[in-house]
Amino acid sequence: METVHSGWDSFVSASLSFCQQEECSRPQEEEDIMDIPLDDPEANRAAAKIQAGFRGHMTRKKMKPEDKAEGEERQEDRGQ
Amino acid sequence: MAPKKDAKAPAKKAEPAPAPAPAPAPAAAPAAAPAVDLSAVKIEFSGDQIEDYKEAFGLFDRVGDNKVAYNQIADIMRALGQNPTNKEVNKLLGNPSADDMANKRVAFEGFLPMLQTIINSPNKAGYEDYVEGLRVFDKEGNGTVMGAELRIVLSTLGEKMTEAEIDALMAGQEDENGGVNYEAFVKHIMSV
Repeated sequence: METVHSGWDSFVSASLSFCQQEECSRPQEEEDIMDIPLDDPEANRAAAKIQAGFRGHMTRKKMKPEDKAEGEERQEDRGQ
Repeated sequence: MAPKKDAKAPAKKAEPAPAPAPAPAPAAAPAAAPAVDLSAVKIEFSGDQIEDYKEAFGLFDRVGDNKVAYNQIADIMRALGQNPTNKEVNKLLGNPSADDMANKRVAFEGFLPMLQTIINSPNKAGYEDYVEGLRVFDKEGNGTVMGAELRIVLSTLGEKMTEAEIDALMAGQEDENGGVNYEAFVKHIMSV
């Protein structure tokens, strides 16, 4: 779990201090999109972990109501 | 409820905990090799588990050749309770091209070491990790994040999600103000 936590710490601090790091002269309360650390590898790695969890959940949820047809059900839904 | 065929470590405990025997670090492949050395992965599943996995695997075989396409591997692992990133799966598949993903197929015997590798992977996210990650966006410290903001993050960072995926994920999760109670959200995510 240590790697995930260090990724999160980075994600958190990058998100919170993004405005100060750049020559952003806007106040912190400005448009939230300015707070998104698009280039921070740690933040991206941490985001990918959350997304992986979300995708896992959605696949499992999709499979619940059906029993036999899962394979076919997902035929049109080819993204990973 | 999660299907009984959840992929678990041999001890059959609640968590797919890191396997006791350290596999020869399949994730840390030597720089020369593009892919993981799957032949070196020790399979530690019980006979019952293998039967369950085989059944799940079979459900995804739409061709009838006892194989599945590369682009189905991630979903089979998810069906079995794992949460691999796309990057992890691509690495296991030897960083395939888009064409490979659609057309190459793998048999169950080839799938097992891939699944074992994912199960052995040490840094899995848990409840606290998700909550901490989402708490970053809780500006008022009141336990909610704006759904709109979450959507932006999910579509611009990491392994970007499509609008359709995000809609499916967030369905029914936003309150009348467009806020998401993220602790409840994470519990919901982890319940399946």
